[in-house]
Amino acid sequence: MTYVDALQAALAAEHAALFVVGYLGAQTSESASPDLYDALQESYDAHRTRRDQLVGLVEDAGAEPVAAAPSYALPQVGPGAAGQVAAAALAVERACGATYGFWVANAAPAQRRPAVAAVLDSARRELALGGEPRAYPGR
Amino acid sequence: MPNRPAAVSRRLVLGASLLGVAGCSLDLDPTTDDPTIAPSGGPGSPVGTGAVPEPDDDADLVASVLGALAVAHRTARVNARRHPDLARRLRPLERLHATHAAELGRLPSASGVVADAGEDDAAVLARVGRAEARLERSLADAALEAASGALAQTLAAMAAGTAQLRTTLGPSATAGGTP
Repeated sequence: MTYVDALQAALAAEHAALFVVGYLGAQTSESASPDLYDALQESYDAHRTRRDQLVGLVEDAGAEPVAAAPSYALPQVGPGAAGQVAAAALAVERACGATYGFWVANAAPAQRRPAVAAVLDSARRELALGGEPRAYPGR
Repeated sequence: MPNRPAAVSRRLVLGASLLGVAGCSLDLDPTTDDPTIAPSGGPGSPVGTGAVPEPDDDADLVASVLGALAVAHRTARVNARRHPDLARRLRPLERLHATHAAELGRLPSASGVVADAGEDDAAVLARVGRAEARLERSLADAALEAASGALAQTLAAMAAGTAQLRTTLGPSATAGGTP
């Protein structure tokens, strides 16, 4: 895997994350589950920002950024099932964190700062989505 | 373990964890299902020097990280012994440090930052939290410096794990980590 491959993998994950997290947010009541709603909103905003950053980095590397797919499989969540929504959002966050780990591993030291920041940011967001501390988030 | 390869399947990451893809594939590299990450600068990297890092390239960095782990470990351990009522919250830090150290080598002896007698629980937790924040920054900085990409990934993951566990110490201990 090259640096650009790792960027593209992270970007592909962001496209999927935005689709899924957006769906999960639409399944969540702001009044009934305000903390989860806020966590999903923050997650969506963070992934959108990261997606835009990755598009720029891929372009800077002289490659064509991978496009979003037309659709992605969505998790099964029942109406008002905040626990299921949070679990699905946490799975998305952990998946993205793993791609950030790829990004770190395949970047030269001078290119690594945004990737390390992404790993740390994602690890903190895991907790907001109900995750428990882990020894190696992003690996 | 500085050059231990971190083998993770992109198909696993993007397919299983992101719950699959409808109507298209996100498998970006059809030539392999389970690529092993090459170290930065190794073959295949457009940004490297073309030389695979030797294990010794990161020896000093690993020693420095082990030293930082040892200080944080000692701080958590001594404060847990002096404040048994906090031991339940501090022992997981000890275990995490030990887990991380085992990945890199062996903890050297170190002195920790011990709370003064008479400090209340919040002050002790804040002191331990500052030690954890320093460790988190050390790990993140080391991740930026490592010659080996696999080591960098591990160090970044260690920093992230440290950041996560520090939150269990409470609000008085959660300031001062990585931005």
